[in-house]
Amino acid sequence: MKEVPLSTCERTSIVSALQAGLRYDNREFLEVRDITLTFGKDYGCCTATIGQTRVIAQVTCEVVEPRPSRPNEGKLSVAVHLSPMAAPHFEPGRGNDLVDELQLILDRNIKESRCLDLESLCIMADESVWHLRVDVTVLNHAGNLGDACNIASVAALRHFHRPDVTVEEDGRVTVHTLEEREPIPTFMKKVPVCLTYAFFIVDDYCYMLMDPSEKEERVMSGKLIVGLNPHGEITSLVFPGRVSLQKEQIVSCIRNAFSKAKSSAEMVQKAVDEDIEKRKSLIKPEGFINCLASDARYARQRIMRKIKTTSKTEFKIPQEPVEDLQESMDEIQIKFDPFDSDEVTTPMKVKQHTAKKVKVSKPREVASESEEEEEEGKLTSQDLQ
Amino acid sequence: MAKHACQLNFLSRSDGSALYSIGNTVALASVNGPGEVKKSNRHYNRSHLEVCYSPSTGQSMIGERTLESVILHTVEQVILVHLHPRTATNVTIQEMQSDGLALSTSVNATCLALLDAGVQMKSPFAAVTCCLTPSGTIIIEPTEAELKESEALATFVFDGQALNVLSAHQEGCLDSENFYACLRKCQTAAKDVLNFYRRIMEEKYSSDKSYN
Amino acid sequence: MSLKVGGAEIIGVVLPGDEILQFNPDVNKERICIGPGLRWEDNVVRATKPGILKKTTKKLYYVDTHQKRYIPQRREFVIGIVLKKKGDYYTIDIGGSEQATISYLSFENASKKTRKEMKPGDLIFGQLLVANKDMEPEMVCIDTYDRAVGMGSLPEGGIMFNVSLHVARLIVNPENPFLLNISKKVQYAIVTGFNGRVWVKAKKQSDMVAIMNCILMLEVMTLKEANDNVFKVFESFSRHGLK
Repeated sequence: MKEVPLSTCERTSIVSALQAGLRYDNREFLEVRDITLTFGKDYGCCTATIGQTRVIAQVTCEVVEPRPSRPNEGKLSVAVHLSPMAAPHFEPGRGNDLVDELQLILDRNIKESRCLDLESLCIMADESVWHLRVDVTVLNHAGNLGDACNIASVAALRHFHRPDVTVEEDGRVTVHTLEEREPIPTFMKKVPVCLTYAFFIVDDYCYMLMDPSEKEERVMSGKLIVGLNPHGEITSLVFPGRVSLQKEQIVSCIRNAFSKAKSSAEMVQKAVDEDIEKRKSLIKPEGFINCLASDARYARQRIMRKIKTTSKTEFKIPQEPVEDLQESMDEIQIKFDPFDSDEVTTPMKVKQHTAKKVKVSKPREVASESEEEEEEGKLTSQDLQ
Repeated sequence: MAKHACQLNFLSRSDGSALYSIGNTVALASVNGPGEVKKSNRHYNRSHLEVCYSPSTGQSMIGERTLESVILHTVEQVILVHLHPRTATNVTIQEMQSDGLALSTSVNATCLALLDAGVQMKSPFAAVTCCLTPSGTIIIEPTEAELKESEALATFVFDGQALNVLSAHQEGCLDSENFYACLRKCQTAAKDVLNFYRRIMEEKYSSDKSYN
Repeated sequence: MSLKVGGAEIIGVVLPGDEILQFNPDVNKERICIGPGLRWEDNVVRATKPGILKKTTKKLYYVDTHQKRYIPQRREFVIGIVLKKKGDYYTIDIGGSEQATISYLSFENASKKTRKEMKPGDLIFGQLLVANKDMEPEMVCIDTYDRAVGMGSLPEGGIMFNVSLHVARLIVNPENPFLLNISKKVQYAIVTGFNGRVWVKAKKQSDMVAIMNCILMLEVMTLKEANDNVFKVFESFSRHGLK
């Protein structure tokens, strides 16, 4: 089935709504939809929803031989699957640009960021190690799949417990079943967070939104997907689309991302810990039965909540970062001449309290990024000096 | 019998979808169609049906292909495919949580997703799994642990009108006497499943009955 | 337990395969009509879709189903998206399994000299002249007397969104209490296609978005609940107007 074409009317009306300062679902520009995490019966199974976007991740493990170059490290792999379930125009088993993009984001954020201590997955050096495999399947595509996939796979990995093993004297490895021995939790050093910013360029003015919906994604000029962790490290930057931004705009996005990373990481951690705590007290976890809410039910709850909050607080004070960021972007718009953008101007230097966190941890990662991101690296090192 | 539960209209992007659980097994089915079809799959007299089963872990293997073919042949008999020539109807099933009853859960999920999508069909269908223990008793809808102990396992899919068998899937050895005993037990259980379907659909349309 | 609402009598919820009534044309002198969702086979009328069985006073039986996928039907009004120009025809997406066509002559006052020009991506509101399972659907923007009666390409500046087909059928009547309720708040124009596409235009962008959110409420609530909440939805959008 082909994707339903987008009419000119839908395109222009989204943009003119943004110009009037509102989004279709009555969100602030930098407001993220509700995130829920639900865990399955087994360890390492998690569904994440962001609004109506829904993703399931499942972690499995097996004992394999290690790579000869890294004899004492376990393996970790991530695979993304899109089926017609996500949206009718996806074909089963066929790759497309979206899958490649998601695969790239997850590989960088989870595998290459080395957030998992791979050495702890070693059973016997040179002989056998654990191979963890994360399978991420998109169930419903309502925009912002990158964040959803990231959050689901991180939660699934944190939730996962691998079976205990004993190594005999002659080198034989026995894997104990979950009933025989308490399984071992995986240890995650840093929680990767992924945040998406969508850009709409209208008459030389740039509107920036967080967590774009599916329709917004189809209309937007481009987006920036920032992968980072609360320890102040950027793990990935993906910047697809037909849009060119001033480097300060990208920096302001990253700053905003850092201000949100901590709460996001804590949210995931809390959800995982709560579920594991529950498992200790209950004899048999029920899993997904009765605790997953359908999209229709979610939509209803959302409307009810919106109505309630507005009837209580009539004058809502706009959130702090919204104005702050939009303002700083205005300044950039006005003060910057595209031909002389090498210098860092004053407005950026004044607000440096968050910029200090922007630290380029590994030069290797920066080197592999595209042009804009290299610029980004240069800029932050300047800032630090 | 294990506890059945279902939520309709689970996914906003699909034409019809259902999350179905029997005991601790959970499957999610989504239906799209009748919609546009690729040229290679176009039939002049009927709708092209496609069933895709994806397990929660990794790529689908031979076992999943078996499930797909059982579901495809069941659905093909029930849907009025000749009403929509040169179209495609797509069924996708996702395993959410497994506890031994993957086949019957996904068949029932498929049926409710089709009902949710409003696809024209002859009748609903219901699948029931049973197993034969070494002591000779028949357990309807066993758990994974019970399945490991059992000698044979059989799944029957019945149609909603006369409870005729639409398809049957069996693993292990059953003599004819036991086979018929299993069949009869499953048939009575299927009636309850079909009543459950009716309750779910009545719930879905309950709001329309009062206002409108 | 039958209930009479809006000219049709509600009989009850049916599932596919349920027997509605016995009907043998040789024996039964009385004629009945069977509408969508029903099938007559072996002298028995059976349902083919799940939904609410309704019966009108003229003995027309039909099943009212909740559905998202559109199946083109003759004489239905739909909103289409122009895809491309193909000779004397435009191909139009109407949400069905096949693309519809419209001749450039099927517009009011159109002739070979005064052609109706449309760009890909434009919206068009028309009626289906041909729609059956064996043929490509064809659209027209005129009635039998060559008048537009409201059909044609939709003007710029509106907002278009998709709803389920039963919601579209519900709001297709302009005298609908729900739509009248919204009109107490703002003045607006609405065009509803049977294919689930709704086009709304009002003066302010925020009003259009608010109306869209009101109509989308019908997907998940009953008419009465949605009616009660219309003003609250507008209130939640009004703070944007103050900015």
